[in-house]
Amino acid sequence: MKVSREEEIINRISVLNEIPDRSPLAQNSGKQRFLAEASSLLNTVSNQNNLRHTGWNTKQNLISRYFRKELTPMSSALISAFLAVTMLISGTGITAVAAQSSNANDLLYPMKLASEDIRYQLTTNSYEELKLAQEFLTRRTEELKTLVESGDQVPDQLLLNMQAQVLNVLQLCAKVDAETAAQAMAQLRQQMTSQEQLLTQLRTALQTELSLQVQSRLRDQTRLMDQLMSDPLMNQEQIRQELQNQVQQQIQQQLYGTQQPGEGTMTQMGPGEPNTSNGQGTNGQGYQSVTPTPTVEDSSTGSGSGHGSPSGNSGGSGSGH
Amino acid sequence: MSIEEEKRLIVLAGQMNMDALSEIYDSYSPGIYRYAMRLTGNTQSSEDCVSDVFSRFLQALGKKQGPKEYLRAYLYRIAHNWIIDYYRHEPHMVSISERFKMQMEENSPSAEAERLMKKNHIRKAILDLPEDQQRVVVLRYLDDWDFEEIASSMKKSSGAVKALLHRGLTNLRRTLLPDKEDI
Repeated sequence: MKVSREEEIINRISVLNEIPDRSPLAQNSGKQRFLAEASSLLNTVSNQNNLRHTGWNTKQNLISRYFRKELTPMSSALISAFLAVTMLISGTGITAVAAQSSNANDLLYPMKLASEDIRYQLTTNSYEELKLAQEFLTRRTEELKTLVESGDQVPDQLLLNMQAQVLNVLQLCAKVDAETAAQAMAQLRQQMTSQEQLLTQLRTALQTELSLQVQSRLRDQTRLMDQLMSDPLMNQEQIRQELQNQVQQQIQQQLYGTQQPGEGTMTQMGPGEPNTSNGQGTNGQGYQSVTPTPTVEDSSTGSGSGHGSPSGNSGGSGSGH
Repeated sequence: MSIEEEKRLIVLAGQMNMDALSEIYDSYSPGIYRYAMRLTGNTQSSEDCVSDVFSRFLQALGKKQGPKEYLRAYLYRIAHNWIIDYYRHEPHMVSISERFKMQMEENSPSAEAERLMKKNHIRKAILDLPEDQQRVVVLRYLDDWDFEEIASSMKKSSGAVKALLHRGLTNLRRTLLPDKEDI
């Protein structure tokens, strides 16, 4: 009985074997194009441009799991309250507007991030979310640029926030069509390269272990991206997934050391010590403890000294510096 | 084509030998076209698939990243990835299905339209399978590859391929013969 059902299935799918003959003209012109391309490759010293499609997709949204769209609930509440009070005082929301031009070391910076978060929460679909995530990533790069050019200290929070936005963009690429995702990936690569180059320009005195780490990781990630994109055996989704895993792993290492998420509340690692487990940053800047579970509110009882949420929306942003 | 013959062609192709490349195209492009046709049902898309597969192959050769062996399996893997990407771009299946549904509603249901609908349904059932199962089912039952060749192309054992095939058929049965599931 089983055999007959198997045969029935095979018979059914064999209907797909009914294929009209391939046009000899199309076959011949395809072959000519192929040989012409081979010939041009033979005569070209440098590599050809990468012609393959680069689009992607998938599901999970770890950014919201770990970063709650850049806000820990506690800091979110505090910032919202602060924002509300400030707006009441100013009456016109001028402060919030003024905050838009603030940088990571400024007092108004948390408001800028809070307003971004509000905009993000008002989005109604993945395309809008992706567009905003790209915009925010560009903003982070601009902020980094301003700080580097003015010779100011780059807060670790900004660096972590940048990485979180990279992860966010990668995750959102899974929710949009392949062409949009491909464009987003190309833009992401540019941003990552810019960030890496900016960190290279950072004066030695201003370099922290985290900045060096992030710089090296950005370099690795862009290399990996290029390498994956040039591999014809990888499809778009595989490339995106692979890259997402890398970025995610690196963020997890920074936050949790070698411990994996989902193992309960852990004290986040200080920058520069991804493989140790004392939870203390080498520059004395500890981080909040986080319960890495999507359904559990983040605790805010950490030993941090003002850095707050690693993704950047907490009120701790520049106060530690 | 024997494994030795494939290896010889791969070496020559790596040197951009036009005769070898021409032979590779003649040997494998018809099969890849059929493979794409089965899964897309669209001649232009299938031509695009063939073109892109061989273009990617050349690029890999240019970067010294081409295959060392199992050329046919290598090209089919690129083709399969292309098809997966193709379906990510647009919900082709729905549009095709809808088109013929409309055609059937507007005109008298033609045998051809019905046939195309049926094909589309089967195609969708196959594409809804996990990727490994899709490849095994198509290569084994539509392209007539033997287990050894599928196993080497997927870097799996023959046993694993047989297990995948079994699961694939079981899943297809659930989709295509739901009423006979418990027989």
